[in-house]
Amino acid sequence: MAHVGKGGLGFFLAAPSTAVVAAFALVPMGLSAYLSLTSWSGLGGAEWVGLDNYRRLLEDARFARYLRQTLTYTLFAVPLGVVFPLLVALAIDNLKGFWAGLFRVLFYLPLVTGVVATALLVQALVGLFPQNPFARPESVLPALAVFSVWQGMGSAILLYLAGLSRLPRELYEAAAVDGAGPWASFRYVTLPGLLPVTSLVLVLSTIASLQVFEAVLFLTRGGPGDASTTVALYIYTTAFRYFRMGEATAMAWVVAAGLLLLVMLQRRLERRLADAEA
Amino acid sequence: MRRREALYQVLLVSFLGGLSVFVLYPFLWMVFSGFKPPAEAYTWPPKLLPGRWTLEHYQALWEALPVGRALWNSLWTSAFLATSNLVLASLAAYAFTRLRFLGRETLFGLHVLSMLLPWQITLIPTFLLVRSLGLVDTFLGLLLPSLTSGYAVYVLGQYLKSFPKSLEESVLVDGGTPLTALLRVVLPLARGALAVLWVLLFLGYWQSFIWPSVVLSSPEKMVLPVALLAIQNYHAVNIPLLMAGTTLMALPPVLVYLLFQRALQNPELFSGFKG
Repeated sequence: MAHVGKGGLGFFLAAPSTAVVAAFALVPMGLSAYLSLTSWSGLGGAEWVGLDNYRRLLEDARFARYLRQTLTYTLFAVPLGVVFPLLVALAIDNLKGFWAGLFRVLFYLPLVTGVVATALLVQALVGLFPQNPFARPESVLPALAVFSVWQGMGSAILLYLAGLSRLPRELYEAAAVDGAGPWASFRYVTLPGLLPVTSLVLVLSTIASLQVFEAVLFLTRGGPGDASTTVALYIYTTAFRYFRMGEATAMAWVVAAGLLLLVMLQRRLERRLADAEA
Repeated sequence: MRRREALYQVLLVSFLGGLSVFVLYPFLWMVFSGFKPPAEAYTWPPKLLPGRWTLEHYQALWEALPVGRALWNSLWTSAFLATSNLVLASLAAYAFTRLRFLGRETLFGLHVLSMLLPWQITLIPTFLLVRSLGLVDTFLGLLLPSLTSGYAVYVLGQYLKSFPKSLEESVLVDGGTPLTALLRVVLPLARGALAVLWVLLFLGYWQSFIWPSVVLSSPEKMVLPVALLAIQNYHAVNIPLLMAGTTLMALPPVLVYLLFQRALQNPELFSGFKG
């Protein structure tokens, strides 16, 4: 290896990982942009159709409805996913030793178990209920949102707990000296101090909600009827059941444009969090 | 004041205890339902413990359905991918954080980009690429696109940035190459973090559904989530059978988690984890 200079070695070590990422992220990205401008069934040649796929999406009543359903789901899932884990984290943070450890483990279980297993289990259990909220069009989206918040609360709780442990003690002491009660110190010390973490949780849960897929597939298959079909599910079925690859990739780009904006926002927030820590 | 503090603790414990019923009950119901005779599994309100314990559903999963095979496929492919991610990503992360070379920033940026791309964008073209390589319905086709990940490279890079350089420098001063520094010093010292990352990657791949569902089609190559979706499709009314399968799916992650629980509660590593 001696003949490989320092510069060569770095490239040599980074090459295998880079090759895989280039082949299965960069190339697909370019290919997908191209495909969205063609009509293609997955077999034979791809015919160039320009922006037709995108134009058709504007007129596709189903795409509009599934987009609306995805947003409705998000409107239930995000506020709940920001506030509920915060309450749990605040409670855990005020507990001592054994109990704090126990509840940390417990509320984490659904996340570790994963969407697929938890969705199968909830689908079977809730199916026994006299009233199954997943079986009615008017309650299926909120029910899915509650499921996702329950399933994923572990990661938000963890982020909040980390945020709480970083709050400087001196601030609480100073507030106590100024005569602040528990409520005032919560209102003026804890809440502002948690703002960066809260906004991170907000963005992460929005990104996850807009892409919700496995939960819908395993809990409702997009039903009853298509009352809980989300954009991600529609993309998946358009591509792999109806083989309309061009249309499906065009939909993916519309969603991705929104997501990329959110992701950029999240990375800025993360950087600011890191700066605040340093 | 003491009594008020104690009362406060009791209130908090009962609040969280009440909530944790919503976690514990479904999990216990799942485990026990897999051992119930069919007649006991459909009552309302649901019964927690089986009146009579039976192993018939586990037998059916093994004998009539390809679930034993799917369990094995899930185990080895997840372990393989977690390991290959760790190997490729530690080499790349070391290069990105410690060595200078042409295009370093661009190549690292490519890894970050791949981490941020939503799956909807890459799924279809990746399938077409794998198909043009003739790898549809092969394990190689399942593994190839995931041999490494932007996530693993990024997380290890962040970790190495906070890693003291002084120890490596002593190797370099003694005439060693950066490669010996990596293999002899950095990796052995980072083994705790590497183990945690391996577990996280394993859990992530264990749960992955979308790519396996697209690329694999033969029953004997199914991974567990795909096999369970098929069982849900054909045996949706067979709750004990389905819950036995779901218990198999939930068991490895829960066991791993309980074993590594302290180490895994690290928000820096978990924030990119797709649960």
